[in-house]
Amino acid sequence: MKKKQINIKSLTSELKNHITHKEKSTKVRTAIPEEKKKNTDSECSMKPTDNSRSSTQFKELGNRSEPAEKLIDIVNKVNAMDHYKIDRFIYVDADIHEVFTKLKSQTKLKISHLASYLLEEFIHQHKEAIIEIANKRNNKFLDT
Amino acid sequence: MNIIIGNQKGGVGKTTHGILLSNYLVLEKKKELLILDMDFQGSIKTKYDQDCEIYDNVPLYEVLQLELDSFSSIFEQLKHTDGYVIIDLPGKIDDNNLVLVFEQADLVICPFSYDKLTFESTIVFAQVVRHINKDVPLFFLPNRLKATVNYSIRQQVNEALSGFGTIAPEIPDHIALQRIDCFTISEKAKAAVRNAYEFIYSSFQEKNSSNNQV
Repeated sequence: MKKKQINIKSLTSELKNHITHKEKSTKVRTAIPEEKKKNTDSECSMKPTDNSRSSTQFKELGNRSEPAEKLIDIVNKVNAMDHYKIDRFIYVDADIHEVFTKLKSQTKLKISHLASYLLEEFIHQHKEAIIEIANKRNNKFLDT
Repeated sequence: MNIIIGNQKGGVGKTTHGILLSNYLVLEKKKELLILDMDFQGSIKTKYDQDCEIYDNVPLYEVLQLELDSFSSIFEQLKHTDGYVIIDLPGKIDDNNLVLVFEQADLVICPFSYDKLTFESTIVFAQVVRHINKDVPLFFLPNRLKATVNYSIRQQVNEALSGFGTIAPEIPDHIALQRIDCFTISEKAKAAVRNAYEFIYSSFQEKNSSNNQV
């Protein structure tokens, strides 16, 4: 009997499950000796586990300072702007890139939206000067 | 549909064409696809993850990294998909797990360049593929050709490789092919690869449809 065709999305999720399952079984196998080691070492049980550390981080994130709250508001505002057609590249300084990569991973900031927003503000601020420069001709036939 | 991109020689453009061909198939041919990065270096997966962090665009496809020995447990699923699966292979041929990968291939694309070392590796790769799968369409993709260089062995290489498969149109050396990402394909990159990709795509479609009629 011919097996039913599956689409790429189903195939991807099936393969992801396969990979996750394989990773888990590998982790279980490698974790056994470490567990044994932990049981013999009494000091280890007093130290905070990875889980307790991550729960502390979560509390800190929930208890933001006022500037951080303001920044999150801006991020949400910028992310919600859907009038930009983002399909052109701009190159930026490497350290600026590093800052925004960190910010993106923490706040889900859409960097391209923020860049467009800041440049749009700049254009609004200098609109008249930009028009003047853009229209400035340097042509002996057109300027006379 | 399993499309393999491979060559025994490293640095011939397997990863570059893995990404570019995938972008081309999604954006120009409106195909759904998945990339299986089976190269132990995981270059496509790394690039994909980096691009996903940098860009806000919706990904065109997903990239999964798999070890070669996992292929035996997934190939049945690959057989029954109606989309394209692009498989990026490592630059080696001495792995028994590759046998099944070649057996299950619907199309093999082998990027290469016209130099002696690459030719020697390419011909071994071609021999192995043909030995394992005598019917699979095998396309050789002459890559990164410099306009100012006279490739003295071009004709001999083409004659030798023609015994195993089809030589695709040449792809020029262009900076746009180094500035690639997993979301877009620039007009310059598209212009550089279009002839070769369209040639492979149409030849493959033609062969596929005639096989189906038989």
